[in-house]
Amino acid sequence: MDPVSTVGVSDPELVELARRGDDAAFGALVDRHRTSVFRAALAALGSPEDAEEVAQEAFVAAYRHLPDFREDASFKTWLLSIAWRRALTRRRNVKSLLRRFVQPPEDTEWQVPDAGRSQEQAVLDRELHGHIRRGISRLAPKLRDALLLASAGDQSYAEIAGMLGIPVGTLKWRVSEARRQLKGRLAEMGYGQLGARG
Amino acid sequence: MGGHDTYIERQPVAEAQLESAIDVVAREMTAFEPSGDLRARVIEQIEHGPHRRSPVARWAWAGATAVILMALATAVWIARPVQAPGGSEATVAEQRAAAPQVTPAVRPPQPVETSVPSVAQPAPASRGTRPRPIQAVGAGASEVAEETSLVPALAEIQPLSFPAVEPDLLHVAAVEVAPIPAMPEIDIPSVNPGPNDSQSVDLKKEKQQ
Repeated sequence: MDPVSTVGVSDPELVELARRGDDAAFGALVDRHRTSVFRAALAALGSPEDAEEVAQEAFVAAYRHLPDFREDASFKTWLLSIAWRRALTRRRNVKSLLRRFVQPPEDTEWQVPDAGRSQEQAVLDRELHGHIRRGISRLAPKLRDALLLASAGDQSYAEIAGMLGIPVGTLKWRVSEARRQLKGRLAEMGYGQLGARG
Repeated sequence: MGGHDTYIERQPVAEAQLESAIDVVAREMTAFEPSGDLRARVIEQIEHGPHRRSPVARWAWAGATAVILMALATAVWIARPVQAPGGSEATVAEQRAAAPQVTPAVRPPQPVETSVPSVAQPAPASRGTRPRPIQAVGAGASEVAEETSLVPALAEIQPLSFPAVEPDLLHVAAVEVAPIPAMPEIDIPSVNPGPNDSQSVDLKKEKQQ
């Protein structure tokens, strides 16, 4: 099939084409949503390698279940739900648990934003960010998932709530609760007094 | 966020700055991009099928594994050491030979006569080991040896004898029953209710009094 530009083609149209056997149309859907799917899986798993595998599995599963897609929700939400379920399944796997045990997420490399700050400030920022990262990793999974998905910025609250299968209000509460717990732990460590005073 | 961090004096951070830092870190934790060939891999897997085994193949493998395990278990069960009911292993020949002699547990090896087909006496089997094959000499002895080595037999059962149980006779003294003397008559006076008997006096009348 000849490659056709899919820039102005909507998701439902691409889905319809893919249902008729147009693999290029489904490829366009993959390109369009691969980052969202990958990052959702990454939020659940914490490992880019696992997230990549889950994203691939999710796209293949979505292609095979295209006839079952009833368009009650958007294709993106449906696709994210598939990816999320697979990511949770993998998160429960022994292999994944072992990997997290051997290499906790907080030990991975991360970049400190350098906006012309002093070296001392950069060190302090780095220390603070390290504490926040460890704090996020130690949150309850439901709170951590909500915070990471909401912070990633790839999906709206409605899409995330649809993916998790919870009301939007519940999602917002989880994000807020995650932040509250994080700030509480940071306050115990000496951060956040200025906000408390003011 | 270990406990030791609590004792480090830190610079106070504004709440807004803390919020911003949380946003930055949370975004960093998912700020990765999927590899560029994700689309190609997905399309390839769709067109050429999954690389993993199909469910039918997986069931076939599971069945084959189960059969192999059962075969192994059967082999182990067949090859296990055969235990006699008494705990020791002995062949028919051993048990018959040992039956008349009670005290010696280990008998010296018997000389083998080569002229007459016979069965050599094996060494007494120790607990937990398989019976050694009986070394036979002469024609036909090997068959007998094979038969006796394969079939563990029970020891000959001696008839049980018990001493007769004859309890002593029970001697009971004779009991004489004396006649009951005649009872004197009892004079019972008539029972009339008194004035304070609550069961026989009307309570209302009593209150009036």
